[in-house]
Order: sequence, then C-alpha cells, then structure tokens
Amino acid sequence: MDTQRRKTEEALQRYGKAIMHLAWSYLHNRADAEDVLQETMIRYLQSRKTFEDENHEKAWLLTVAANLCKNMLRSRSHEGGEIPESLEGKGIPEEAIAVYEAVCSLPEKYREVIHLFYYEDASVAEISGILGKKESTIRSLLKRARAMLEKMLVDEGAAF
Amino acid sequence: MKDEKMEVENRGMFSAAPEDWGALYSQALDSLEMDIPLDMTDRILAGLGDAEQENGEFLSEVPAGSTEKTPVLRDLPGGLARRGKVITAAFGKYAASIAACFVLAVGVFTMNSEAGQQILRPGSGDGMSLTSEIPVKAASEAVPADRGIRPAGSSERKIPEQDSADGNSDVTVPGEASVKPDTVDRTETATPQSEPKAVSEAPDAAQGNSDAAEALSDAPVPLAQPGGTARTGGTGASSGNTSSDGTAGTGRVISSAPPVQSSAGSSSESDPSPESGDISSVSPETESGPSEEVRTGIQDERENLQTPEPQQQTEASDPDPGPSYVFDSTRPVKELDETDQLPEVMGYQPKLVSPVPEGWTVSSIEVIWGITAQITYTNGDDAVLYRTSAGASILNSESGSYEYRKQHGIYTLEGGSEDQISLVTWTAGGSSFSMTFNKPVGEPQALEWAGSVV
Repeated sequence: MDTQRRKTEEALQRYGKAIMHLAWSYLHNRADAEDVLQETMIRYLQSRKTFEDENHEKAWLLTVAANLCKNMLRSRSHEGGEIPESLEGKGIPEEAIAVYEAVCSLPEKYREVIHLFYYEDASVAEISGILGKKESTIRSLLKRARAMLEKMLVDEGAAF
Repeated sequence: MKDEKMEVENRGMFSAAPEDWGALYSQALDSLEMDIPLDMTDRILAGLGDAEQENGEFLSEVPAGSTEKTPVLRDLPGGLARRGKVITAAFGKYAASIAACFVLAVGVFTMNSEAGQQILRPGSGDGMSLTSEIPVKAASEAVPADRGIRPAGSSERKIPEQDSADGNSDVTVPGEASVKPDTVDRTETATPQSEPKAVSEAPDAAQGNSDAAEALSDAPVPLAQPGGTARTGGTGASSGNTSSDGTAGTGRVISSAPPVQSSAGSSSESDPSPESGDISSVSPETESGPSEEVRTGIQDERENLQTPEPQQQTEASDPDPGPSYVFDSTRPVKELDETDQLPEVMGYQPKLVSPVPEGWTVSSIEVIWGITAQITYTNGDDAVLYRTSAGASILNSESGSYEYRKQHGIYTLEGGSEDQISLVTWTAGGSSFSMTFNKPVGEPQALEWAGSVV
C-alpha cells in the first residue's frame, strides 16, 4: 500500500499539473478536471506498464487523460459546453487573456493540439503519439488552428 | 493630436507576435492555479480499490485497504448508455437474421472460393504481406481460407472439420427485444427484407471486390448478453479511447470470408465502463422476451431468412435522437478516417487500444454492420487486428481452432503454444473483444496488447 501511495504521489507531483491543465483545456471545469486526473492515475496504477522514460510515461498519461476528456465531452454533449473560467482581474496581461480565450473558443480538435503545442511544448511527433493521429494530420490541424487564432486575434481584433 | 488618437485606437488592440502566443497562453493557464487537491492521493487509492473490486480482473492488483467509496467519474449522463442498450437490444432482435446472412455468405464463399480474395497471407521471410490480393485456390487446399490475419507458420491451427455451425454450439440470442425509435433507422435497413440483397452480393465479395461478403462472413454472431451487467457507475470515464487516426482503404490488412467457422467467445464479465460497458449492457427489460436457440447451420439459417421476424417498434420514450449514422445494408463495412468517428457510427464509444504502441500506427478503421469496430494496427511488418462489439459476440471465428488455448483472467489466449499466441478474446463490461496477431506473439505480449484496450 505504501508503495502504491508513494508511486501515486510521485506521479501526481510529476504529471499532475500537466494532466489537470490538459483536462481543463478540454473541459473548462475544475471538478471535471480533477475527476479526469483521478481516473487517469487509477488507470496508471492499474496498468503496471513499464515505461521507457519519463517522456514516454507522460505521453501515456496525457493520452489517457485526453481520451477520458473526450469521453466526458461526448457524454456531456447534450448538456451544452462549459463556459471557460474568466481570467479577468487576476493580474494577467490582457493579451494573455485574449490568447487564452481564443484558444478556448477553438473546436476541440484544434484546441487539443494547440494546448499540447503551446503549453506542453510538445513536438508534432509527440502530439501525434499522444492523440493517436498521424503527424501530417497534426501539422494540418496546427496550421489551421493557428490560422483561426490569427483570424480571431489579429484580423478581427481581440477585444480587451 | 493625431498620435494621441492613434494611441487611443491602438489601446486594446492585440499586437503580440504569433511566436509569443504560446507563452501568453501558458501564462494565462498557469494563472488558473490548478492546484491538485490535497486529498487526491487518497481519492485515487480509494478509486483504485473500487475499480479493482468491481473489475476483479486480470492486470490489476488489489491494494490493501482502500475501501472508501469515492466518486470516480461514474455517473455519466445516460444518453449514450440508453442508446447503447437499445442498439444492443435491436441487434439481438435481428441476431438470427444476421447469423443467417453470415452462414449463407460462408456458403456462397465456399462455392466461390476459386476467386481471389483479399487476404493477409504469409509473405516471404519473417512477416506477413500486409495487403495482398492473392487468388485463393480451393478452400480445402493450400491456405485454409480463414481470417485475414493468420498465424505465420509457427502457430498451427486445427481446422475444424465441422461447418460453420458446429463450432458455435447452440448460440443463444435474445428473442424479442424492444426497439426504440431512435435506433430504428439503423436497424431497419438491416431487416431481413434487405438481407437477401446483401447476401446476393456475396459472390462479388468473395472475389475480393466487395466489402459485403467480408462483413457477412465475419459479421459477429451475437450471443445472449451475459447477465445484463448494466450499472450506473463504471470504472469511470475509463479509458482512453479515441486514440488513433488512420486511413482506411488501400492498406486493408484484414479480410475474411472464411468457409470454416468455429468459435467460442470467451465469456466472463468485468469492468463495465461507460464507454463500452454501461452503454452496451442490455438491461433486463430489453432482454425480457423469450430467448431463442439458434443453430447456425446453413439449413436453419435459410429457414430463418425465409421467415424474417417482423420488426417491432415501441413508442418513443427517449427523446435522444440516437446515432445519426444510418446503416447501409448494401455496404456493411464502413471505412472511417479516424477513431473519433466511431461513436457517431456505432452509437457509443468503443474501447480502443490506447495509447497505440510506439512504432505502430492505425492502418484501417472500419465498422461492420454498424456494430463491430474493426481496427488494424501495423508496424510495417506485423499487424494486429482488433475487433470489438457491444454484447457478447463472436468476433473471430478462429476462436476454438487453435491447438493451444489458455484462460488468463478474462482473456482467452489461443495459438500454437504459449509462445505463439495468435488470438486473444475476451468480454468485459457487456462488450466483446478480439485481438488477432498476424505474427504470433508470446503470452506477455498478447496480454499487454489486450490490456492496452481501455
């Protein structure tokens, strides 16, 4: 039990934040993000998988988390989406808020690649592995996502 | 004055360079203070205990203690679950007809086995030719015209002498099941009236030109649901599912049209997880009709075809519009581009291999008859065919035909020996699964593949 606890705590410390943020990027809901983190870690402990290195381990966890989030989004599809938490008044530069809100408004398939690319600093190959899509697909999604962001932020002018 | 005006106009205008957007996004996200709850470790361990208790299956160690109940993404909205139940029930209703098509296609194929068929066959050297259209001579000679993925030499198969019916010893299907309107579109097209048409296409398919016969011959034969394991809480949103993207089409690894069928779907129940378990479990009410034993003998099935069951409809009680995909009986195999499309086609999120092992990619994604997901993974040399379907279905007719067979938890391993596993079958959470290796693997590898289905 102690081993399990130690393993859990270590994994949480190492990857908890990344999983929470990834879940947040999908769900925009803290409680749901926590649930995804919890379930991801349960899967992790159950899997008894041997990982090649930390990157491999993290990629696996993010993959599971992403899939859990997608499942959750689908199950929630009839209930309407969550409204992202406002960042107003948190002392964040307005441009950062504008980018965040623009990313949040992207369709899911673009949002996930942008999050991994921007926040996790993941390469196209890594994103491809995490999301289980071809690298060419990821490149294409990234390109379109950035074009959409540009349209929202620059062409149409972000309002703040 | 002009400069002042410009300044006013520019105030609030977004001017960050695209290369800075990542940093800005990260800054914003970090400000959310997504602290991990202090009790998260306890929640995870408690959730793990719950999951283990409910699964009680292989690949898991039950931690000592951890009996505290903790919500673990259990209660997902019931729309998908209801839909899955209805689909499963509807499928059960037409199980006999589908089985009939299956057997007839087998018969037709046998008659036309001179024709070429798309089949994965041992290539030169160590691996398999992933895609090849090789004319198959008489089914009785050369390669036994079995499934697409076949063991590469070392794993010898026992070719059952009985025909397709015998291997399936007394298959029981739900008798009458209520069909909710939201799945009528999907099931209606698969009614017996339309089946003769599909069957009539089988000869073409046997020549490798149509998906129809392939699906017919490999269409899963549904069995009775194991015990209706519907529950309102699964192991949570379990598993990552929508993990891969692949291109269907040219690189089809799998084909079928087997003249010989014998199968014995492994059965045991576990882990009814939301994405496949809950939503596919058949609730008692949907199975309330009298059960009917169906012998999948050709004669019996022909009789079934001649006397199709009348379609039943119940009044609409579920406003859920159901899956948008309307099953096309003339094209029973629907090729998809991404696994993300599976829920739309199947009406629920099937469990998938997640993550796809490094070096492996998805080479094809298909849905057969709208109810069986068939995904092929390949690393360029080898291929793994994964199938899943709601309900207890026979997903691989090679099951039961191998010399070596071992039960490992919920998994039934089959092959030439413990080091030459070619097939893993299992049921869990009200769904059936099979994994076929074109090149036999050892037990640990086979179990690792099967365990990666989440």
